[in-house]
Amino acid sequence: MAMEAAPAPRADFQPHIFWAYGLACALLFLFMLWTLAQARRTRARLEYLEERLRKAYPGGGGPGPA
Amino acid sequence: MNAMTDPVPSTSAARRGLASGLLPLEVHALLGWGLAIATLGLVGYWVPSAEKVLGESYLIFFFHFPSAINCLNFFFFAGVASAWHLARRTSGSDLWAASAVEVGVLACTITLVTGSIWAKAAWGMFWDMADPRLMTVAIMWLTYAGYLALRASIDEPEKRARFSAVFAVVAAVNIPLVYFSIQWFGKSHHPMQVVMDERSMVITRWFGAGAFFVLYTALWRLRRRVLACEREALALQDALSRSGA
Repeated sequence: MAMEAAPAPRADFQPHIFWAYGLACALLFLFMLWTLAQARRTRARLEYLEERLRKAYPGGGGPGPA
Repeated sequence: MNAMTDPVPSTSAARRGLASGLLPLEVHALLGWGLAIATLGLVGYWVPSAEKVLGESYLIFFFHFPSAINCLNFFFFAGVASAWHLARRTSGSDLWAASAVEVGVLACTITLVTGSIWAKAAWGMFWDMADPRLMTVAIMWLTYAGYLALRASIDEPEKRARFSAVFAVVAAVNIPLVYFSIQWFGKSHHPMQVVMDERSMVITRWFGAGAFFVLYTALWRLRRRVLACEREALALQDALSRSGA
């Protein structure tokens, strides 16, 4: 009985494509989360500093330009 | 009044929240993510699963190319904003330049990571030291990492803005070097271009580039807002320390 030659094994690129897309999106997502967290922290700091300045100058004036 | 000298800048651009601008930033970011996911849909269900030269591994191209083209875009934007800063000395242009470099470095990192994965799939190795495109992109990444290090190392805002602007204008020379690297320095492994002989491939390629551009510009606006808030916080801190409060 004649035996058919088995087809040459083909490289499986699915994991590479999965990792490329996954890493691209993960990096973008983490960068966005980090930026949002930084924005929240900075806003809280601004509010705190404004409050301190308001207490230091209750009339609304400030120390003026440097 | 300049944000650097206004002790309580209650209506400044930095404080207007995420909803300012023509397109609210939340909508902009969600639109970017939606388009990026739509790109995956096109890659998964529309384009052919193999290409003549590179076979199936060419599918990585649809995530690699958008980041590659957008990192060049954002470094170009940084160069233009920096040149504008040097010409006009506006503080806003410095922030646009700095945030464009941050987003560009992110896009460049994604380009290098996805490119290395593609290289492993297509050539059997993660990196080729003789490939002019790979090496020029790596040099560009290092150059702009240097820009960020320079910004972090200078405390005085005006000096930092001026030095960074000069650096970004000079660093923009990397953009044509990367773009024309294969023509100028010879071809190694890197393909001049993937054979895109089907309409679906061409549309998906440019759809992906546009989708990621929308996402990166949302990040750019967000980073610029954070940098503006940080600068304002420093101005307030300075005003408080001067007043002794």
